[in-house]
Amino acid sequence: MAAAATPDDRLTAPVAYAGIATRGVALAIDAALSQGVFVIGAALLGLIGSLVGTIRPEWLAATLLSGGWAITMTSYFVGFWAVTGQTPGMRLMHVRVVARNGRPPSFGRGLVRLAGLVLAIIPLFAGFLPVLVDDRRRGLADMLAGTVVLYADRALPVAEPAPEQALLAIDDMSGQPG
Amino acid sequence: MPPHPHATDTDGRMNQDPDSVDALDVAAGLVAAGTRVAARVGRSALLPARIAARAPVVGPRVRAAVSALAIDGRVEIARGRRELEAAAARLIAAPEAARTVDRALAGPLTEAVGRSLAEHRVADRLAGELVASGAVEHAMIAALEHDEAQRLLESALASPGTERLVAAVLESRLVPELTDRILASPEMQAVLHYVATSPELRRAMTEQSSSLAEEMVGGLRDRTESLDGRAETTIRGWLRRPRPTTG
Repeated sequence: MAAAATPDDRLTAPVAYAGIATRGVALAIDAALSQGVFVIGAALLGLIGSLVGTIRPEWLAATLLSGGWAITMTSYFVGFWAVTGQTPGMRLMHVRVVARNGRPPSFGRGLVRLAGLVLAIIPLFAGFLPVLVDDRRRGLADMLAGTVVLYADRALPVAEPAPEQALLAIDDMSGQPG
Repeated sequence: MPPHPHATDTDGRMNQDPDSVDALDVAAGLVAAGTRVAARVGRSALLPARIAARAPVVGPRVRAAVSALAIDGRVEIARGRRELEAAAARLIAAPEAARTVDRALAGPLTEAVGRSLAEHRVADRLAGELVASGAVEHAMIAALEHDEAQRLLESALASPGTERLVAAVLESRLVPELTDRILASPEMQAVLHYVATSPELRRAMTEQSSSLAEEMVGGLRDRTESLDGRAETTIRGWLRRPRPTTG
């Protein structure tokens, strides 16, 4: 994390941040897709497991099922966020998530954002209400992970270089021959 | 062949008892016998003339006279035919002839003629001859190209009778049977297979499907984006906070 610059000030360009309705539809599509992936995968594994025998005791089966669900959700959301900055639902709705540097969030930042997403959902989705009042339309997950959600077809956020980096760049240019 | 139902009275008299004698038959036989006797007498009378025509000295003169007589005879025959033709025309044009034909048509003659036509397949033979000669084709082409034929066709199509006829045909059981036969025909199956597997159709369906999906998603996104702004404006209005300039 760059301490030299004030990170929130680096997104100063007039960028259209995605609102609550678009993000809500994208999240619903992603939830349906991820749950579908999990159900199909669990069904296939259950079918294969039934050929061998049943899993006992029941708490072990429930634990495995919960663990599988958590791994599926984490892989789906964090994987897509970290690789492309867009889940399939976000791509369909033409929105994308970026970190403060304008790039897709890292894997760790994605994990934090996923945890924030769960926290935002638990109190009856109250964690998304800040989107309506925040100047950059950030929800609880965005605030925790330091990300914003943008309309993908709008202008990219311009990351203004920090003063120290600008000075270093000028020194480099003056040191070059000819 | 069975006896004709309307056989003449002569036929009827011939089937009578051979011992009974009719005066009319006797008179006709007398005329025929007299004619035969007259012909024989004539040939016997002309025998010296034929012998003379073959004689060496008088023969050529006799043959010349005979030739002149033959020419006169042909001229007279031609004149007689012309007079006969004129007389026949006058006879046909006479009101008596029209009345006679009218009476004949009113009688059993019409049915008899119809039966004869059917029995001897006169209509079939006539149709065959007309088709073979090409007259039917020429007549049909001329009729179809005529303006009157076009007018008749339009009036026939516009008539309620045609509408009823078409409705009756469409409601008949012939239509589903015909449709089934057409659909089951190898030619129709080949056409359907060609259409279903044509690259043009697949490309068009793909383009239609993708454009439809794109339109749906685009419409959904436009609506949600509009809803984004409205929801934010509403909440910010309640909280008395101005909208950000970057939103």
